[in-house]
Amino acid sequence: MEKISPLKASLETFKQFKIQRAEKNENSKAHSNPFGITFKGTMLNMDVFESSSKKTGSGNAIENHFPTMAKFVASARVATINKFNSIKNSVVSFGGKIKQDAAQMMEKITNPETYALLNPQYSVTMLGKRPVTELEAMLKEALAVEGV
Amino acid sequence: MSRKIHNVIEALAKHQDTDSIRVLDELGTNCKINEIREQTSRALVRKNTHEALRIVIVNKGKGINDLSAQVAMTTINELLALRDKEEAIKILEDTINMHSEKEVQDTARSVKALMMF
Repeated sequence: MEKISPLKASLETFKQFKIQRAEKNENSKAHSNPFGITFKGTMLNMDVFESSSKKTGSGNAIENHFPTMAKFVASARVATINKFNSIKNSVVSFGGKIKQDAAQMMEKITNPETYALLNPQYSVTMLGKRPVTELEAMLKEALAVEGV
Repeated sequence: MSRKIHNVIEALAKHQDTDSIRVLDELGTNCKINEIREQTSRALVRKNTHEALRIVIVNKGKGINDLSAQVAMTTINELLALRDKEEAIKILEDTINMHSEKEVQDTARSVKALMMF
């Protein structure tokens, strides 16, 4: 009796496995259903998932293209909603900035004595010419206004 | 901090009268608003006189020893930016050798090391 080496035995096993796999692949190529769904043992084609109300060859061209158009419209609508949301956020932040600037401007108008541009006697240069006692009084007053 | 307070502190910083140091010390460095203490410390360092520098270096809770890290760092930056550092280093050395508080001594030592670097 011939002695079979372990390597030779495994090679033969692999050959058998290869043949079986090739046969299996040939069977599976008979159908084109990527989902592999069977109905009473019969493989179903993709076409069965198409709508049964589909009209072919008859009717208006616009009606035939309506489902495709509806998909495009839905897609465009989603994209537009996203775009509008980003525009809305930009507008809100811009509005907030305008409001803040307007509030600052109102504060300048209501308290003109604190701004050197509107009232130059309160500029650093002009204040530097005043005596220290006067500056001390002014600083005390300003700190009291701040609530310190 | 209002523009008026900012301008008055700046005016006191540039004032030639030495009494301006007393006003800055009494009203500015004791203020509870960090921003005002920060500007006052900066003004005192810019004066670069013995009295003004002593306030921001020696006193605990003022200038480089302020509890606010921002105020302390601003004061240190201003000290580092001085062209003539001689007076500041002299006061720092005196503080390291003679001050009773170890914490103040350590801070002064660190600032001196930065200034010598």
